[in-house]
Amino acid sequence: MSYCVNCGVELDDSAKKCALCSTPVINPNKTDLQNVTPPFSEEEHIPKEVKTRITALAISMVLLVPNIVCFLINAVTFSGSFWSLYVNATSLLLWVIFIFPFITKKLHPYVMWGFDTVSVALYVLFFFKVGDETANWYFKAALPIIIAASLLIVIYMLWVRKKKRHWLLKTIHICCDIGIAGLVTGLILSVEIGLAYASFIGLTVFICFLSIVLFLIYCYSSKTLRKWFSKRFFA
Amino acid sequence: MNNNSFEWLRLDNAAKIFPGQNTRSWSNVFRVGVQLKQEIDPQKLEKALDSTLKRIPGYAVRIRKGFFWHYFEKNPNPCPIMHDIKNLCYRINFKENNGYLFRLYYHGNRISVDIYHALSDGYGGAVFLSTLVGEYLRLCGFEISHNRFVLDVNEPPKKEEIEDAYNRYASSKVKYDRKDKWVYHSVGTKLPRHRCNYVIGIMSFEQIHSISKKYGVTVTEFFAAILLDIHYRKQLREAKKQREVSVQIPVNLRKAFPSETLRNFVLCLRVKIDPNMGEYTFEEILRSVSLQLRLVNNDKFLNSMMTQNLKIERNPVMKYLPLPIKTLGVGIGFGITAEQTTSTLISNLGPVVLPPDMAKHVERFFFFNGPGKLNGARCAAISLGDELTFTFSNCYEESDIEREFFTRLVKMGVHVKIESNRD
Repeated sequence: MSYCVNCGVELDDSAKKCALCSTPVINPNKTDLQNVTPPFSEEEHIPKEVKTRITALAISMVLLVPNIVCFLINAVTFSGSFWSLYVNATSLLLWVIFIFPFITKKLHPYVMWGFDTVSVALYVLFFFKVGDETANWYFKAALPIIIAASLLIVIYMLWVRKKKRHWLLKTIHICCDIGIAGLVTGLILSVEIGLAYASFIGLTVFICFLSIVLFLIYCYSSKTLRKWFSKRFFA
Repeated sequence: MNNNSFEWLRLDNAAKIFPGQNTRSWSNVFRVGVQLKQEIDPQKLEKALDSTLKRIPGYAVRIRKGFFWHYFEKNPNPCPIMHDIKNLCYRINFKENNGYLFRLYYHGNRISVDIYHALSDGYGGAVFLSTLVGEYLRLCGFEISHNRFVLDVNEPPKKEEIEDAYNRYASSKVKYDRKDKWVYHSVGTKLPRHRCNYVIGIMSFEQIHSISKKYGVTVTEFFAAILLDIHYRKQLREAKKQREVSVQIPVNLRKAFPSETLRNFVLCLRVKIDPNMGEYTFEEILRSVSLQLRLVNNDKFLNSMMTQNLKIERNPVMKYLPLPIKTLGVGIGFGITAEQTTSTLISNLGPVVLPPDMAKHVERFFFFNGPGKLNGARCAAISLGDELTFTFSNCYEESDIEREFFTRLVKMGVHVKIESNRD
């Protein structure tokens, strides 16, 4: 029998090291380890993963039924309008965002995000095409705003995934993103669509968030201020 | 009552929660094992299992979904027997293993059963395994007598053995609603899915009993106090904000209520200490654990807790809520709050008493808790004669709590032998 020199416990005859502290077992009297049955089996059984793909496909099938029904009712009963297309488009968008990730093999998050951005853009395009085509608001305003918002989120994802960030830094980043998104949206709406007050609202949002960001940056950099806050606002 | 007298069974009050807690990687599973003095013959074991399942029909079931609740129905399929594995107590899938909710393994001279907690508690598991081993030894040609752990397979099953004892004994006018805070957890590097580290400490029951007697506490209280002390001191060393440290102790209700059920009949008590109240010595923790446990571990208090649990089940809204909604609610609730109110768990099954003609063929018993969701150290203890086995189930790579626990016992003069599935 062997004892761990570190823990003082007796070890099993098949043990090569102590299970508690990993100290190797060196026992000159014990040479024949081959014939000793270890207390636990060496065999490992990792159960098969339950396939989420099958469930996702089943949900897709269930989702398909009301869509087909709506389409048929629309085609047979209402010849003048295409209301069922709204239902179909919305279902498709929800499917791409919530069910598609479970059907595909693990895609990179950025590729998945690309799919989501494209589907949102196409969804808005659908409403643009079905609705008023003369205004041309889609290519001038909607698409650039969607792309800008998507890019801001991608930048945030890249930044967060790179290394662990302090919660205050994350808040600063999110505030920056909201401010920039507000400014860009205001500018696009005012220049391309001609909504004069949009740039003013965008600028106001930007200035508000900029001041919050500056204040948070100061909080982050000043230990004294942080201490003062924790002292004054403890709960 | 004969074998065919039930076609389906309701899940007992405690079991109702377990199917909702099931995930793709976790189920509430525990293991009871036995080490014999001879190599296991799987063919004889298979025969013994057939007779045992007829005697204990509560295990020969599969789980099904009703409109409002899950239920058990008789399983017509044969139960497979497998060679033991290293990652014991991995999750239960209701469609695997021919629908059986327990898995029977053999390895060398050991027989082990991984049991889904919805089927039974540790005591029920120990009776099932002892009866199985008794029958196995009988098939090997030995004369084996019977007792409350080793049932006679030639007798018909009793109605009381498959009853929902909670329903029968919960009769208190007071419904004790306990509220627990979220407590400290000793976390580490999580092991990959379906894997868990197990460390068994084999020691003398007499030695442990005499030490705990010296302190004026029971063996369970003694173990619980050591675990609390280890967690308390670990938190002092590592964390900034001090939280309560608590240990969960399942109590076998058969000691307070005269039930013969082999299904679930346990309640979990919690004892805790708050480091914010000041510094504790080990003796103070021991005293606190002992007093807290003795205050609640009596039939009146346990009855009020049982009644409270039944009140939730009998609530008309809960009762008539469709099963998928119940399952979803339990799953989400458990996902958020699982083990948040307990730092660790110690489940002491106590002594297994075997007839003398059987005890001479049996080396020792084992009892394992399955891996925790959050708790690193989930402990279980069982004894046979003078052999006490204390088991740690740890879902983290680090083994500091196990080491501290066993080295403390060594320092108190207890001889401890260690076995583990760690690489």
